[in-house]
This record gives sequence, structure tokens and C-alpha cells, in this order.
Amino acid sequence: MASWILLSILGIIFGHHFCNHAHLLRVISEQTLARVRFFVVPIAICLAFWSRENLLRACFVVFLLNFAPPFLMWMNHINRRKRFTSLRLPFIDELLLKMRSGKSLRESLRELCAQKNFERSRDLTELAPLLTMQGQKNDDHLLPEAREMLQELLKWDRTQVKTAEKLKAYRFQVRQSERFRQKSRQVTEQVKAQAIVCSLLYLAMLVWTGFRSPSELASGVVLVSFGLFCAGILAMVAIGRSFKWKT
Amino acid sequence: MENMTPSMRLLQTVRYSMEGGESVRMGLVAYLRLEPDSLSETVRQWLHLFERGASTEMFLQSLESPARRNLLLLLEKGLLGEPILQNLTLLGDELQEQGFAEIELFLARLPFRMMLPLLFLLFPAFLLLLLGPLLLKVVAGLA
Repeated sequence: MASWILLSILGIIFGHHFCNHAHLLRVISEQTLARVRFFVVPIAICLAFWSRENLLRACFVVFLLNFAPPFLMWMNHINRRKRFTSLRLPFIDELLLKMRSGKSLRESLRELCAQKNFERSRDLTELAPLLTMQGQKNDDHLLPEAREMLQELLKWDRTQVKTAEKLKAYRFQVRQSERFRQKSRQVTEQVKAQAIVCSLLYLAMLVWTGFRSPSELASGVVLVSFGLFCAGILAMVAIGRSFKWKT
Repeated sequence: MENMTPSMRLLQTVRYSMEGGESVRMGLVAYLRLEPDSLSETVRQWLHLFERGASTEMFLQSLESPARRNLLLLLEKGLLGEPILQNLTLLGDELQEQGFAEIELFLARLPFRMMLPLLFLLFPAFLLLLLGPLLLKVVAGLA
């Protein structure tokens, strides 16, 4: 009972520390932070009950939680970039349509950022307020691509000359780079698919070997096999990355 | 791997600057401000030569890639004040074709190249994991 209480208290403290760390790394919003904090106490108590007889379990949970925020931040960054790149062209298309219908850049952007179909990408919806603030607001949290787009928008907003034409030229540039990205992705996708299939197969065989006789897992033969496997995967990745443009 | 061929990236940057009402030189400066690629240093040296008033002919002839050479020749005309936007657009289409062809060629050779680590590293790793412990038991039994 005493160890359960002690572990619960430590768990609650650590849970709050983890939440704050995740919030500092912009993995979770302030609203989510408030919600998650509410659940920290029951989760910590349950986890403390599960690990009260085996301290190794508690250490494992602490170890896992310690690496969770940077990992989540990395995942979040990848997802954000995916959402941004998938919505960027439709966003520019619609912005151009609005401007062609006689609205100003700011007005079109404000209307577009309020639309539901673009709210999945925060980097896009934040462009309108950032443009209105004329770069006075900090844009460090934006993706580099979004920051670059904001710089262009700010430039056009300052000059107010042939804005629609400039936007059209920008769209052409983005579309072109998107075409190349899709084409060059074919190389990386092929390598990735092969590496994932091989890794899953190897992992399944490793688990099977472990179940059959756990002592064999630490034998020299398995270690050599693991070394060869790692070298093989690294060689695959190196081949995929060996592509260099000649033109 | 960069997503766009360096020459295409240079062309796009200059073209975008020109369409925004800026000069060719401004476009080149904007390109040099981007993250460096395999063409950046060449462009820097070529622009340096041009601005010093020296002949760039020898320098351009030393370039291996005809696409890069022709692009820089065209940009040089632009720096001298000739209208190049239309030619730049046509060259852009050509460079895109060449870039896609380069990827296609790499993709065609990729299965064979990927087979080498599969055959010499991954296959032995799988075999060792499957049969290694069994063989060790057989050897121990014989001993």
C-alpha cells in the first residue's frame, strides 16, 4: 500500500513534468494540456498499482515517457509538413480565384483562412493574422515552407503591384517543385518499402527464435545475423540516397 | 536527395524574380541565398567572372553538363540586357524532361542495385537466424 501511494505521488509529479515538457515543445496545445492534466492523476494511480510489485515496470514507464515528447514532436512535425504540402496548392488556387474575383490580397487570405477545408493546416490558417500584423508577430513556429510563403505575401502586400500575377508565378514554381518531389519520391518509396518488408520479416523470425528458445537470442550466430541484417538495411538506404542530379 | 534538379532550381528562381519585375541579377542573388546545391558554387564563380568583366567562355566550356552550360549562357544574355523570359520558359520545359528522364534511368537500375545487399547481406542474415542455432546443435551433438 505504502509503495503504491509513493509511486502514485511520484507518478503524478512526473506526469505533470511530462505534460509541461510536451507543451513546451509545442506537441500539445494549451487546451489539450489542461485536458491531459485532468487525467494525469487517475492514470498515475493506475500505473502505480500495476507497477507496485515490480519497480522495473515503473522505470520502464518513466524511460518511455522521457523520450515521448521529442518523439511526438518529430511525428507532429512530419504530419504538419504533410498536411501543409497537400493543402498548399489548393490554397493558392483558391486564393488566386478570390483575387481574380476582385478582392484584395488581405481580404482573400482572411476569408480563405476562415474556411473549414484549410483548418487542418495551422501553418496555412495562421498566414492571414501574420500578414495583418506585418511580420510583427513571431513566425518562428511556422514551417520553413510556410515562412517562405509568408515572406512572399508580405512582399506583395507592401508593393501592391500585379499581386495576382505574382501569385500565379509563385503557384507555377510550387507546382513545378511538387512535380519533382513526386517523381523523386518514387526512388525513396521503393527503397523504404523493401527495407520495411525485410525488417518486419526479420523481426518476426527473431521473435519466433526467441519463443522457441530464449537462450539462442544471445548466441553468437544470432548476433552475427543481426549485424549482417543491419549492414544490409544500411546498404539499401545508402543505395537509395546515392542518386545525384546531373543536370 | 534534393527534390529538384539544381539547374531547374536556378531557372525557377530567376524566372520567378523576373516575373515579379526584378532583374536577372536579382534572381541570381536570390538563388545564391537559397540552401546551396551542387550548382551554387559554379554559379558564384561564373557570376564573379562576369562581374569582373572577364570572359566566361572557357569556364562555361569546362562544365560537364550541357544543360547547366546552356542555362548559364542564356542567363549571361539576360545579364547583358537581352530579353530571355520566353527562352527561359522553353528551356524550363526541356530541363524538366531531362530531370524526369534522369530519375527514370535511376529507377530502372534500382532493382538490380538493391538486389546486391539483399543477396550478400540480408539473405545470409535470414539463413543464419533460421539455420544457425540448428547447425550449432548438430555440431555440438556430433562433438
